[in-house]
Amino acid sequence: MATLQTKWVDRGSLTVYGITLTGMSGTAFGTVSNTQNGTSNATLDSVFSGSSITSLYHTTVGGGSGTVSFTLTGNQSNSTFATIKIGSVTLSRSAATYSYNSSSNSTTWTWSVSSTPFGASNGVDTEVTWDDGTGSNAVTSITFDPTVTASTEPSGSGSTSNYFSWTNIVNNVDQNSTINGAARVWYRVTRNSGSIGSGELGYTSGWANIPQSQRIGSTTNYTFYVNVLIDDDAVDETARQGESFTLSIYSHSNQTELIGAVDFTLYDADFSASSISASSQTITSTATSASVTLTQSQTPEAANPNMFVYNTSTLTGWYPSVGFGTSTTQTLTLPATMLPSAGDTSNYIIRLYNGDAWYLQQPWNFSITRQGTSTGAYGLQVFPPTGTIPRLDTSDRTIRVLGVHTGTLAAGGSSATVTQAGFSSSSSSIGLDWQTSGAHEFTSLTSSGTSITISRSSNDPSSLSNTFQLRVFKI
Amino acid sequence: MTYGITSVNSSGFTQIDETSEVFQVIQTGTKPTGVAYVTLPNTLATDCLVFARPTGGGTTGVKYLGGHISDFVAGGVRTLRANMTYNVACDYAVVQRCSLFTTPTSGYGINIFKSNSDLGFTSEQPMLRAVAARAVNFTTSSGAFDGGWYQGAVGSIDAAYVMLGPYIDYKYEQYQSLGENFFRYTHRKAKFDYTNHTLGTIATYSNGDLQRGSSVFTRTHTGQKTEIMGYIV
Repeated sequence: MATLQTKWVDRGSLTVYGITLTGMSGTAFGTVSNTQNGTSNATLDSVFSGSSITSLYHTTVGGGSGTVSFTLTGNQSNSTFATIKIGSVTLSRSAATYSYNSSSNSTTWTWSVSSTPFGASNGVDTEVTWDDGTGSNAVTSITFDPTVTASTEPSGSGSTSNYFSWTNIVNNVDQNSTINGAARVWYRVTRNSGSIGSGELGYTSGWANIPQSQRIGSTTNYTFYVNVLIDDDAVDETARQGESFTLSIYSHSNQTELIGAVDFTLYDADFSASSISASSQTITSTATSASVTLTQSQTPEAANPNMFVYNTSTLTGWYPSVGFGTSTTQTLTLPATMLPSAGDTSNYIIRLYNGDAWYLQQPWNFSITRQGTSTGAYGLQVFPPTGTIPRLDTSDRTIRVLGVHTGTLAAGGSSATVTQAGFSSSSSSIGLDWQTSGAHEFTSLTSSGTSITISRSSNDPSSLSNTFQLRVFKI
Repeated sequence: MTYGITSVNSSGFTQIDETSEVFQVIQTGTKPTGVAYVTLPNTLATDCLVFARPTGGGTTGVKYLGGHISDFVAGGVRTLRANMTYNVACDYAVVQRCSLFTTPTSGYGINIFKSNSDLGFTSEQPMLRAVAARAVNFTTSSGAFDGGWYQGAVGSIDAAYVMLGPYIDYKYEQYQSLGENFFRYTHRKAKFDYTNHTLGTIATYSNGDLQRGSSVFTRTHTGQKTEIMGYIV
């Protein structure tokens, strides 16, 4: 049996002079909709084009008998559907009394049915299906969930294949239908944009199986997932836009009976935006903003993804009004809310959004230090005409030279001793720098008090004299 | 105090005083990769210092740099070389004590004089600003290796230079194993860890074969040294 259309009747009722009507009738009682507990929709286009259900109800009559009445707008032929199934009750059109009322321009079928098929309680939905009775290979009662879970496209060349999945929700599949019997639907994926290189697929197709455990004995609401392999093409796709595909679902492999279709995009994985960096900087204690120039290592692609900057120190995030354009640099003006307090340093993460996912989280990408206020900073800084590093900063411990000594070390083993006022071999604030003109492994330095001795080993095979230079630092 | 200025931090360390003397830059250059040294003018004073870094510094990654000065006379001619790691391109700067400079008279900036009237600091000349230093002592058992003796804030070593001198061949060994003879150098190198903002010292090695029966010994370069990290500004 092939279902032409499915509706749901939200049961209402009306009792008049001992006669009880259950089901729906216009605006008097009950409603009809396309889905369970859905909004009111009386159209029945798939059975009779342009028609709407005026009423569909059961009427009790005395003596335990009753009727089911089904009325449509317009003058409809007594054909098209073979059966109407209300809940678990199947009624054959051929067993109905058929009539057309020209004054109301409506068509009615009635059946003799003793008890209501619409259940015992108002407000409960009952499924109603119209079947054409033409056989078991024309089932179309499947809906297609357009949500496609697509992974991102690999960057660069297309040697890497790509998977994605979607969800089908199959409603009201008759146990004898093609879908149910075959436990599968036919899918086809076509490429709408992007370059197709030699040997690559413009589309791919195949059977998508319905899980067996849900197929047997069930008639409604199958949800299943399909993974499809698509060859990426040989072109690194443009940022954000990626490649456009259409996924189509058919009931047969001959692709004549389309159940549904949806477009989806495989997004580029990285926009070709990599290694974004920004220089760390120091701002004044009273700064209300900071200008940060982000630099990419390569020219980005033609999209302009959104950007997110996160201060990992204060746990505050910010969406700049600009994204990363097609330039290799982008300058942001960070607002005061994103800046550190006086005397503090904040570290920042940069993330880019391609319309599908966030990318490029780069911890410690750059930092901003706010100078301390007058109550927390001492000393003096002298800056050169360019650059941000002070030429003089009195927060440094300065290094000065206490003395410089030079001399000669003869071949065959020798030493030279110098005396340096202020030198102490035990002081960690005294440093030495020295070298000889010979091989390092034959020379050594020892000290005692204010004396410093440089020695040359007798193992040194060189017959040349060596010179030495010795510098003594106060650090 | 008749001259200069005095600045002492809260820990009692003198930051700058009338005896302070900074280092002025007298020459800068680049040693390309594939070259072992650069030859400096032999007219430079013997107390000049050479600082170097991997070319351009960095913001991420780790780089190693060794180097020392060779100052010798051959054939009656003085030769001054700054040796740096062969396969690393380096920026270098030769610095000299500020007192050896003529006082700038541009009328701008700051000149600070020592009590003997020598120039201690001038803002008019590029200079080395020493940021961190440590005295180390090489012994036969220790090359004072410390993978991160200086930990700075973000960006603090991105442009930093180190003084050439303590990054030499610390040890030379000839040894025997399974009847064969080998040699090994222990190179002492500065470790620029740009990712973690640390400066340290690390050992690298080079090995080779020797003829069978070669002497077996270990020779070590011992004595005090100073490691200095700073900026060329």
